[in-house]
Amino acid sequence: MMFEDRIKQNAYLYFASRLLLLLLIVFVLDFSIGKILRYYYFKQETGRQYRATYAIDKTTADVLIFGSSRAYHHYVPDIIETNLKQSCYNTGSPGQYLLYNYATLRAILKRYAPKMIILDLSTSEFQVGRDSYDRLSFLLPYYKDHEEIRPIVDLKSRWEKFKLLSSIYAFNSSFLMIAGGNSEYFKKRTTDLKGYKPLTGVWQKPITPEIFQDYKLDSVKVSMLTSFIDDCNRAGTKLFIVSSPIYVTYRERDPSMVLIDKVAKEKKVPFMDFSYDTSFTNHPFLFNDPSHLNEKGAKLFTAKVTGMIKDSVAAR
Amino acid sequence: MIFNSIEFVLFFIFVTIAYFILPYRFRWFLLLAASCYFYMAFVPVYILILGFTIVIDYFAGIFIENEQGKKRKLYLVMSLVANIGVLAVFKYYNFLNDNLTLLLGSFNTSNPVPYLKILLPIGLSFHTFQAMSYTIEVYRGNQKAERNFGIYSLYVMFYPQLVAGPIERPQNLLHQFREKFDFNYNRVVEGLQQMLWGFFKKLVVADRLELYVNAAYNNPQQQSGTTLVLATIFFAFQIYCDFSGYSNIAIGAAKVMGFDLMTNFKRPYFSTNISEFWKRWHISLSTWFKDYLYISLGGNRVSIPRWYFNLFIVFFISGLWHGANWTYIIWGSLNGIYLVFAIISQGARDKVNHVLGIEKLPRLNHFFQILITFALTCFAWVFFRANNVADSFLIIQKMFTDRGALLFDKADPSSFIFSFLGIFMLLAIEAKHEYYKGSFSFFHNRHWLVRNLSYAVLIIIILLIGVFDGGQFIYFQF
Repeated sequence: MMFEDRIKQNAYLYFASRLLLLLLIVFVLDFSIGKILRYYYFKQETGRQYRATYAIDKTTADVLIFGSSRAYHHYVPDIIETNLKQSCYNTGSPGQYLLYNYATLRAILKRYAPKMIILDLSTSEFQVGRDSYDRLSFLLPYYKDHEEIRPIVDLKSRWEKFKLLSSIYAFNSSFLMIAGGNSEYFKKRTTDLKGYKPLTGVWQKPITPEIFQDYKLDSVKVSMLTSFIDDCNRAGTKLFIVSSPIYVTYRERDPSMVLIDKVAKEKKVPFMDFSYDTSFTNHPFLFNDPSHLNEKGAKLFTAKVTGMIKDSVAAR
Repeated sequence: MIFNSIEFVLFFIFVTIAYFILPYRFRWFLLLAASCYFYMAFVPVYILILGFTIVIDYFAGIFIENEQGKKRKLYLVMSLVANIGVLAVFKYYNFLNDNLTLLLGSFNTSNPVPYLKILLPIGLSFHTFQAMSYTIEVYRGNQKAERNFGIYSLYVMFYPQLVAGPIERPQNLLHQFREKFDFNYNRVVEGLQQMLWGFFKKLVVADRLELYVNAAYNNPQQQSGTTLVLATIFFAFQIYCDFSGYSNIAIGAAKVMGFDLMTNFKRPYFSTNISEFWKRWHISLSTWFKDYLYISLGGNRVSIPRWYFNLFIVFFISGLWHGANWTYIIWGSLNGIYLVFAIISQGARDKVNHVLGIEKLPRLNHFFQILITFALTCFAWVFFRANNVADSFLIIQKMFTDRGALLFDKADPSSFIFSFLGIFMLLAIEAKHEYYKGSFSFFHNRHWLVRNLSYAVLIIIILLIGVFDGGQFIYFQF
């Protein structure tokens, strides 16, 4: 009797052999496609993923900006360089909050210690919610080579290290972005402004009245803030925490802002809160939308912040 | 424990292996224990609610079978009241109270009835309907009362279909728990195929579309009418893939162990009229309403006005079943109106078709009928998805009056492309099954390499563009 016939007689063995074959095909495809995606991911020369790679693996700037899209659109590195006479790079990433920022900081501190960091934090930053954990998937391509970010990415779920057995998983939903980042067309259209991206719109609607919501604070995110401060202190990096302007009226102070204020005072870190600053909220033409300043607003804001930083450094 | 989680995959593997290792007589116990664990992974305490109705329905079944005459009916009514009562408290109490508050408020009177701080147990509506079908079938004499409490409990708690159906009938499922299923290669492969297809629908299509739909529907004031039209079309595919994907996984998981669950979806968006749509959409619920409500009301063997009323009331209640919100009630009622209107206007439509000569172009006619049915369904989905009635009307108003950008601000273009890619793959495969049944098949190809490569490619597509941080299945909330 042929070997295959004997296997066919035993349904379990037959199933196991076919399953093994399928897993082998999946493994080969996954490994090959994953390798190709990895190669082109790190070969990008423009786009959001390129900026993340540049921040994590390449930048050596004296001043680094950390934060979400609000950092990305609010801090103009050229102005900071002129005012502070130090090189600057904006690592702000749309949709990413403190967890991502802290992972990026750890990767950077492994290479070098920047002289200064501006950490932009938003209202609701510390609110309990899954979003900022889920969005850590943006860091999955770096998981393999950056041991220091693993504990943070693992917060996403306890299964991440197992999911990463698939070579493709780290690049899930990314292949179009990777293609864009490798395209000459996009490269030519994008001017590299040291991580900063200006917004050109002008907000014309009335100010958004904020319905105050008291929310629970996420203890993990809170501990990330203290770790962020402690790591900067250990590395001898001057840290400034800033909350940039927002076109919203608050009836009561946002709980995240209250927390940052408290932690900053405890850790003796300067905290500049512009979220209630009427010199911006009285001027809608400085905004692109309620959450983001436009280019004009960003230039004004960056100049204001750097002025305050200079004063603070001089006072120390 | 949701199906699109690693926990479920591990749970499924463990339970299935244990199922085939165990001697036949212990298998029902394993499945019952696994089902309890599966349900308790959501909110453990809610198993007590299921336990309450299980005890009542188990004894009700036996009493109904043992008694004669009016007492049989009494036990049936007691069982139905208990089931509907539990559902009413957990699902409809606060909704009714809200409406009472509004009503009394219009007379400047405050509502003295307190609110209950309760959550709806996951899948309670499915469980309740399946339990009710048991006592009704025992009452009708179509099903013998189950004497083994464990097996009865398993019938209403079988983990693959516990939280989102298909809503089974006792004649189809109960006897299967006593059958001896050996490991059957073809059945196992067929079950796994179904599961894989279900994961594709959920992860690649439904969860991808959800990103766009949520962004548009949660903030309709800021969206253009064009965006909202697209979001509504996306929602039609999202809810289909979400729910039918769940059904595929459920049916597949059961099939691997040897159980046959009823088909729940048959490519509904290829329907040429609303009546056909409801024969292809959520079949286990549609047939439940037909068997236990529509026919009990007299079906179509009554006067014409009463027949229309019967149709309308069934869909009205179907809307209410889906959720304690006016949006669902309007959605259900609208479908009822569609059906009644289709019957009333049938003659006129035939005449128009004849005059226009559309009958001579059957393919074009077929295509347009599909499009019209899809458009009507999408219109009704607006009410189903909108967060409240005011939003529904705002969305409809904008859809017809406000032209603007197709993509809303901050929409991720790559996610948008993946959305279309997912819908295209879905429609291509479904169209093939709908119109070219006997032709070339990747998944059922005679050559093992083509088959295996097809499965592998589907897995790779899921890994490449599936959404792995997606949420729960929409139908869990029902």
